Amino acid sequence: MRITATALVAFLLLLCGAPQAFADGAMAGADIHVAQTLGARELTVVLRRVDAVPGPLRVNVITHAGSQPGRLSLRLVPTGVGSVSGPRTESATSVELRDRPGSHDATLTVSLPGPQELVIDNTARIPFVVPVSVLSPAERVTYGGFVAAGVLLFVSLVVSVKARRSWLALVPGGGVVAALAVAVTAALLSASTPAPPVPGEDIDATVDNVLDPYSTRPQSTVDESRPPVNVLVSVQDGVELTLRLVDGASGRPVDDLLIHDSALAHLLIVPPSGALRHLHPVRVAPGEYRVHLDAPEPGYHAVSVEIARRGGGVQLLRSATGFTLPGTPRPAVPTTETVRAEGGSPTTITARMSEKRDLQPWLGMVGHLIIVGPLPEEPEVGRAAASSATWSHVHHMAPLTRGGAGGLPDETVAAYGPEVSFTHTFTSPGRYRAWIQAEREYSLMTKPVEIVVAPGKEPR
Amino acid sequence: MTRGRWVAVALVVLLVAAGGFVLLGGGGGGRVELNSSSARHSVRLVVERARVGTTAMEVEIAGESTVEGVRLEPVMHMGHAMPLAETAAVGPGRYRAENVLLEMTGQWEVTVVLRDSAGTERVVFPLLVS
Repeated sequence: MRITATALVAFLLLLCGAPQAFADGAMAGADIHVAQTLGARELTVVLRRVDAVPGPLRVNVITHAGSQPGRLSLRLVPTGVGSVSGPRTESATSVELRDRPGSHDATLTVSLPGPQELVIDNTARIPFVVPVSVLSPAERVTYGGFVAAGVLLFVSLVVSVKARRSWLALVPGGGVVAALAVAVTAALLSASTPAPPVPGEDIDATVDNVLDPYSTRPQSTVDESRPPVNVLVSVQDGVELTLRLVDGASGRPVDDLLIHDSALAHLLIVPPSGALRHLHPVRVAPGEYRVHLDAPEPGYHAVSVEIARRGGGVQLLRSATGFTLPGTPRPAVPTTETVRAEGGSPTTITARMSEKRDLQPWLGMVGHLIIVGPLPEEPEVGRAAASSATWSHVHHMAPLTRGGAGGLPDETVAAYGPEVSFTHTFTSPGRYRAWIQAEREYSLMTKPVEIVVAPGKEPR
Repeated sequence: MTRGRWVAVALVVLLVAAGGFVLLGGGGGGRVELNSSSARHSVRLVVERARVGTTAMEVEIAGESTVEGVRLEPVMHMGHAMPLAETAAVGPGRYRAENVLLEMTGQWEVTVVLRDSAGTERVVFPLLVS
């Protein structure tokens, strides 16, 4: 009997000492990069990954060439709805922007997990979610099983030594085997357990579903996509542009934008001269975005906005109205280069934007190509762009860094290029206007290009 | 069988049932309580039954309330806005609307609109209907 008990104990110890097969909880969160056109400055705000709650939130504010020095106030406001009511502690600090472009650091304190807003200069409100690392039910069962096995092992040892009847030791011994079986099974299954919907990305985030994402089960029968969005454009004082985003079905303000390509909304404005503006309006209220137009041009401006809604993909919103500023329009800026392409098959457009590998990723990409066309015969580029059939936005991706924690490299990494290339298929023949954008020495370069597309030979 | 054995069998059955309850989450009655705050008010929304069908909803406003009226605007995120629901005062700082229709499962949003002498405030509550 003793030998059997010893063998059983030895076997169990061996099992406990075996390499652990269960996966660790997913790394909670990644860095969040948000481009913000705040006043006359184009800023990139990087919210670093939060490792512990309560804990610090490191914020980097990256300025660009020609950015004015000054002080920005930063405030972190917990905004999450939850089943527990309690005081919400805000955290505030300020960051001094130097006259030299680069990263400026600040630290805030996160007091609660879940939805938060970072308020910059009492104007821009960036919504984001502070996640917490949560064990899946399978992982919890695994840990519970191993703990139970450990406790029962101790009990079985005590019983086998103390009990008068030898068979009594088999009861906790059997328990050890059962607990281990449960733990190992759960560990093996944990890898294949479906991930719960991500609060803030798939479903609306609340404090409760961030703390326990497994409490909300994926509902396979429900269509998660949300309606398209209408954009209403208005201008105040000739320089302040307001965009109101309203739901295409309910007419309510749209306040569920995801940060995609490092911004909540990418605003593209084509003025009469054709000098493209690629701006990132700041969210001032639910569904209301504002942007300051530096040195605005008179005349008609074509407007489009790229957004992504929670539960849906990226949408391109083209404003049917655009906006007009009083005055005589300037003549069109000539393009520097003409590229020939053929319709119906992929064309690769390459541009050399620097002499060496020193391009910086802007909005997470090494290069951007924005194309509008085919353009009608019209001297004002803004009007021509507004009536052209397609607006496209092509990226040259930054290569992914293997093993890099936190995600994307930020703009302080000047190691890309010098060539950027884009592949695009033009559907219709005609004359297109395109802009190639890349960042170097914290300055955004925009190269206007004309693309002439010949009718394709390949039948489609 | 002896009495002791019956007790043991009952215990095992109870343990299995409890385990099943813990693993499957129980279900519950679908009552949801959510807290949020606007610039001037701290608001709690109680949804009696966050399931498909009609439910009562109650709004509680903490502290000295200057609120004159409360209405609810339920919207389903797939794009279905429901008719707004006016509430009736049922106590100090408590407003209730009976028979609010939640038409289908999924992500909903209930906007609580508070009216007082200083203006109108909106507090948005995400609500998952199962």
